[in-house]
Amino acid sequence: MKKITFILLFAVVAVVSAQAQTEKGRFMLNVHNFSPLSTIVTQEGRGLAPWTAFGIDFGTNKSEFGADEYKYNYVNFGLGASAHYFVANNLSIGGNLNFAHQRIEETEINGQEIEDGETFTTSQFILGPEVRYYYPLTSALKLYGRIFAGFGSLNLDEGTDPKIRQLEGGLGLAYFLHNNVSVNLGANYGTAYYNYENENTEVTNNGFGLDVGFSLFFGGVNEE
Amino acid sequence: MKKQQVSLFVAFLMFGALELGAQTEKGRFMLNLHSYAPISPNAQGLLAPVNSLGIGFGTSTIKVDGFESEAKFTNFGFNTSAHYFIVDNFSGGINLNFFNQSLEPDGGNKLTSSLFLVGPEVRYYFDLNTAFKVYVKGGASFGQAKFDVEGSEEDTSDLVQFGGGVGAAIFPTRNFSVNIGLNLNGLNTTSGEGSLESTDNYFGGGLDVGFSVFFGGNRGE
Repeated sequence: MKKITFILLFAVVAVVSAQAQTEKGRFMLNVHNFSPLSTIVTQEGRGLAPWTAFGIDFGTNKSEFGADEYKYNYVNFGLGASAHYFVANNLSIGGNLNFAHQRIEETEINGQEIEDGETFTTSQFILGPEVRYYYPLTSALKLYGRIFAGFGSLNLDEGTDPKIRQLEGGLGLAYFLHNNVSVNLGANYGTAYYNYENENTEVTNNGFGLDVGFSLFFGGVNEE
Repeated sequence: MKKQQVSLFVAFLMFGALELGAQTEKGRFMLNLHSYAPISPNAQGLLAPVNSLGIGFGTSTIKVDGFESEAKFTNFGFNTSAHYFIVDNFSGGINLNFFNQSLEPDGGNKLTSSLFLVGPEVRYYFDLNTAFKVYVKGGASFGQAKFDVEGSEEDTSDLVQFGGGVGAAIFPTRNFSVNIGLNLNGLNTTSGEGSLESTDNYFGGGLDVGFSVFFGGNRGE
């Protein structure tokens, strides 16, 4: 009996609270996949992670080939995130950031430390506005549509840093585990344009991608 | 009205406290999506440090001095683990890292790069409060990385990975947690034979971000 009462109370609280998830005046932070279109292969055949959500890793690499031994230090960093504000119920605008960075530095050859070892650095930065509209299906499930336009650059050691323009749109489902947390699953279609001005080269990637992530909601009149 | 809201909130907290205790009980299952191997296994020239779950496919058009060529690309990455709680707070499971990327230029040879790692993993959770736990984990994985250019011999590397880490799991509900952790890992890759044998040893740390879904068990039925 006690448990049923709790469940009923919980259901009432959940329904009352769930309506406040995407109300005007709230803020939303999202961590999500990088970009389905970031299939770039950089110098030395290395590619940046196509679906980075949030990651940092660093360490050393000892590479042996025959009698030769090489040592490298490496650092990788990736962040795909956006921050939004609900300007009206269910409608939010914000900024979306995709950033990836990789650095590999040669430090030793055959046990001898080297001062000016080869260094490979690659980074990609795309920033731009994003708009989302949420359509409630149930108190815990909402359908959303999103549009993102991004501008940025890809920085390579080769000195041929292309400018990037990206346009992306998609549909997704947000499942609210709690008033303040949703898990998101979506599909995007987009185009990413890389202009290597110095080399008279243009690269355009068009495609679909799965978008997985989660969102945190806070602020707004209901929490005052 | 305010009093009613406070009562509901108190009831919610009590209900939450009763139910949250069952998150990591013996007999429950746990599925995790997480960052990729925190050190970067070089899948034959393709670094993919932090994939969680991703699928992407499309076309890439390259225009050089007015001359245009096109390539189809497909990417797939999946990093997950499935666990069973053998006793309260202690789980054993399997960890899987899979990554595949292909690029097929029009009129050219298809390039495929893939990585597969699988192995056992154990975790122990310490209760700090009903919505927050600290965990330690350890495991080892074994697999292969392959790089293939259509029409030429496939290049294969054997992979062995081992390591552990500590992390914090925040439970907004009893069946779901957001995880953030720090890992320390070693990875050995070996390819070629005889005078062409090549060995790479990676050792490093990394941030591990992901989420877990809990289900089953006596209280979850």
